[in-house]
Amino acid sequence: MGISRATITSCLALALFLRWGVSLFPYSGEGKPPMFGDFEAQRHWMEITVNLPLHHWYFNSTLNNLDYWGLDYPPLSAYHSYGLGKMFAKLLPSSVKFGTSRGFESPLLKFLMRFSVSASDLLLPALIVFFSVFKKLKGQHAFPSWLYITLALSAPPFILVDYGHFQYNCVSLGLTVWAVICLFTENISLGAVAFTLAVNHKQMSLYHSLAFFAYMTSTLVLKRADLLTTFRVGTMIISTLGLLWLPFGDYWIYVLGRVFPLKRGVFEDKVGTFWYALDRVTPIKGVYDDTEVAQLCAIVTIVSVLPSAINLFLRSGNPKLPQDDLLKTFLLCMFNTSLNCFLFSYHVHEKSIMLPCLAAVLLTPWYPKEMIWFITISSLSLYPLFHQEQSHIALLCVTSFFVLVAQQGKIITMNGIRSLYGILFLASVGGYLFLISGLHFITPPGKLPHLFPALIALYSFLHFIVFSAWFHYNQLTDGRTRAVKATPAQQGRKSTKKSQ
Amino acid sequence: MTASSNFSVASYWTAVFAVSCLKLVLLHSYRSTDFEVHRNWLAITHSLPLDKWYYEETSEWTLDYPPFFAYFEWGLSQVAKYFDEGMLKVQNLNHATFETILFQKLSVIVVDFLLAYAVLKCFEASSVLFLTSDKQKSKSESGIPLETLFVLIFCNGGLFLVDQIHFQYNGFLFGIMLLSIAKMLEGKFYLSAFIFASLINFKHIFLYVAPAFGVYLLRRKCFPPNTPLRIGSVISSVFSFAVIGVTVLAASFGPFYQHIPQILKRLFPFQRGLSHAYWAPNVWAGYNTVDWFLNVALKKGKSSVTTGLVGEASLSVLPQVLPLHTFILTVVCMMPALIAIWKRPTPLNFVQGVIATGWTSFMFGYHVHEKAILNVLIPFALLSSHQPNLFFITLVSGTVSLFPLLFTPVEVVLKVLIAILHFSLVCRFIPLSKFRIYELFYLSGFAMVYLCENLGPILLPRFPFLPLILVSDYCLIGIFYSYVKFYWNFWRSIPNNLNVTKSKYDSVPPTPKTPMQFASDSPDSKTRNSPIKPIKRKRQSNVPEPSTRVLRARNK
Repeated sequence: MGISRATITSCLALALFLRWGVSLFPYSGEGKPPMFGDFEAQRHWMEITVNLPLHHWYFNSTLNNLDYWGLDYPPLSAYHSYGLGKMFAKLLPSSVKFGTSRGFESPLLKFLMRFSVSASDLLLPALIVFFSVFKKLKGQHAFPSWLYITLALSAPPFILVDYGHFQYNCVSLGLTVWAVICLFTENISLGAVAFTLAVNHKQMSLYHSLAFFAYMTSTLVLKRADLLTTFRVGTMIISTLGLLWLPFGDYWIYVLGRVFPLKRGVFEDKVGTFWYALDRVTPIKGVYDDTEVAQLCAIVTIVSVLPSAINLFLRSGNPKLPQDDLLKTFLLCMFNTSLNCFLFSYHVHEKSIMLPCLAAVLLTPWYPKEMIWFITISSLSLYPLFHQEQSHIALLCVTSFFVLVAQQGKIITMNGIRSLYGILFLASVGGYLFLISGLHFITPPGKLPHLFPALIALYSFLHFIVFSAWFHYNQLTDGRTRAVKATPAQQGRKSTKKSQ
Repeated sequence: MTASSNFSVASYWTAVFAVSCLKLVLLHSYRSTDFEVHRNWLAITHSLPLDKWYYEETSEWTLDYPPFFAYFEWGLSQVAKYFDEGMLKVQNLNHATFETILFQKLSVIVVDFLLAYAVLKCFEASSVLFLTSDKQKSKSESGIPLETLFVLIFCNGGLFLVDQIHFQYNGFLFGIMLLSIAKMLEGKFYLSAFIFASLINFKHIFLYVAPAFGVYLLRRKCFPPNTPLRIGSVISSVFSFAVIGVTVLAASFGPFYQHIPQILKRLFPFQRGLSHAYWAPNVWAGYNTVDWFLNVALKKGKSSVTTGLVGEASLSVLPQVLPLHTFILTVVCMMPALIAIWKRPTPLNFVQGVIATGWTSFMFGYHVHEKAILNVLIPFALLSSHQPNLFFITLVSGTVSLFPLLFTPVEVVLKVLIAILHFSLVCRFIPLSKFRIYELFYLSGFAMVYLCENLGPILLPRFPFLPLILVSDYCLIGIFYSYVKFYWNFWRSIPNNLNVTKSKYDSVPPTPKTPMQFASDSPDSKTRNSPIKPIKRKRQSNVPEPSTRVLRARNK
């Protein structure tokens, strides 16, 4: 199905409408001194980068107190803050004035900050381009492209975290999608640069790195055995890294120390990871040495992601594999490795679920039902966070909209209670709704004040681990089961149009 | 949202819920003083006895809607007390806690389901609109597709701007209006009259379109065409309508029987100026602009435009316009539409008449609000496939004319997004043909208008009213153009000589599919179900079909 200009316009307008609508809600830490939240962190970084010389950015000193929202993202983020800060200095000078602007809040600043997110949003165009470019590649043309685009653009985690909570994930996630687009349109070096930039904007993108690494090495070394291209790609990556890191000179070690902190614990708050679940059973956090725990996490993570990565490595080395299947395997690997990284690695935030979600969004053409489900539960797993920030209504609205669009597009069918999928989906979402209403209406016993957020985290963990297992199974057995798969389009299409 | 052809009723309601979610996303958006107006009415109706409702003036936003709306607010207040008791106290001016905002915004979203229901009813009734004897096979036989009506009416960008952000309850009022139109199309005239009478008792702005309803009802029910006039039946129908009207009025105003003069004083405040503070794009906006130009040209002292007080300022060069003048002008300009309905009372002409009267009132009325353009856009949506290009121009200029209502930074972005979203969806759902070159030029000019409107206050802070004048005059061009063209097409589709039509009609053999409901009101309705023969039809109060073919040809 072709995509008309009117369709693209409406998808784009809808996506922006959702984003700007959500941006009306409070940002993290709005009006909550003394520490505020991520919004203040981003503003503070602008203040620091604009007013201090480069070397001081990541360096604790009397000028730059790193305990107050010190920079802890890689250099590209810092440059991004610097660029935005320069603009803010022109538009609203008091918002980035050194020292005195701490905790600065005003409606205009809120608008400008929201605008800056919207202006740096690389994800939005990337998703549209992805689904337009690969519409011919797909193995299953079950649903029209506009539906995939609408779903991808209204996937709640990306909207809520960036435009509600306030972060610039859209930059690194967008660069990742651009990298995927480049890799699969024969622009390997450009893809490599885009992904390097993504990692250098937010280290969290490393969750995806194994998929990229496995695919690129296998393609370049096994499949092509093309030294020149390999050399070119290597040069591009190294020069990108050089350009980003060289300005820091000898201070690069401080940057690294800030970007990969070991002192911040194995997980942040309540999050649906393996270590959090284990911690509920037997305490880990604060009991063992952070370095030891980090080493353990690293080992477990690496072991858990290897099967998927090796599978991708072997399959992409196979020159007979059609591009279509290759892309699918690549995205599956991206999904599996990032989900396992989320589950097992060190210092994980609940927001990191966005990374598996990104892969899930890209996988919707192949696994529409499953991925809709996954994105829905990932969104609901963020509920406690947004409840704290008073923007839970936005989360619920966008999530319901997302589910209703999926239902409207006949991807999931609510009247399909007869089907196993319908039952599972309703049961799992129902469980979330139960826990959420518990959070609002049930006062937990005195000993456990955070009962419901913890239960939501554990409930999410249960889902994530099942999804991880299920999609590992899917990826590893993919070549064998493909033949028997039926198109889901024909199911649930009913014409109950009322005649007059 | 969907382009699929099997848009079932179930998926219609899914889509309605999805759009309601989008509405709730606007929870924390800007709210105009209308938010406080409705909060105050909640408080008045909840905490004061009935006979104080129309006298209470603690807040400057006194109750100035008819009693049904007051009852409606009372009903809402019964739910509101579970959200926040504070909003129900008359003294709590500008009370806007989170719960209050949530309740008020939710109430708009929930009552909008009536609009959704009415859209469904209109869809079911719409098949009679385009039934012409020469277009049997075309899609028009099954009326307007449900998804088209859904996008054009329920997702209307203007309604979004006015109801969800600016804050009003127009959605469900239009729902009542559409319900009344749907009943009219179905041939349930008494029910339709009852619904419409109630509607006027909700918000009297719908008096604008009352003449069309009145004339059509009179013609169809009391003086059916092509039937010998029978005094008995005329009297009984007139009497029935009178009973309906009086019953509704009694239900509405009855409890206030001692205070009716006070209510009327509140409902019709004629001490206001010719134009609303921001000029609605009607002829008086043009008149004001001409006055301003003459004023500048003749150098007659300080222009009111620069002071930004145009709403109350008087004209400086051109003669003053009094309410009576506008009233006479409106009635005169409505006449052709009413005559047309009288001459050929078909469902299509009725809807065209509703649009034409609403539009005329908007163009010439006294102290018209810009929001009244919705009175045109919503019924016009029913005929969007009839004149798609004209509808689109009206839609764009009408929606943009609402832009100045919202001026806070985020809403400046949101309003244009909502508008673009709606326009692009509409493009997918109505059969637009190629625009004329000047129409295209005009439409693309709106990008400039939007920029000027929102950058104007920053670039020219000394003339705050100038961008607003630009918007209203630019929109006026489009609205006036489509008004004239629409009215002209409407008028031209009515042949001057009824006898000619009749013979023309007789020559076309009717088919079994011809509208049954035309006859449903005739006394001897039992013979109706058989395929109607031309000779019988003459006696059966049947109405000649509209010659839409002529109209269509002219439209291209």
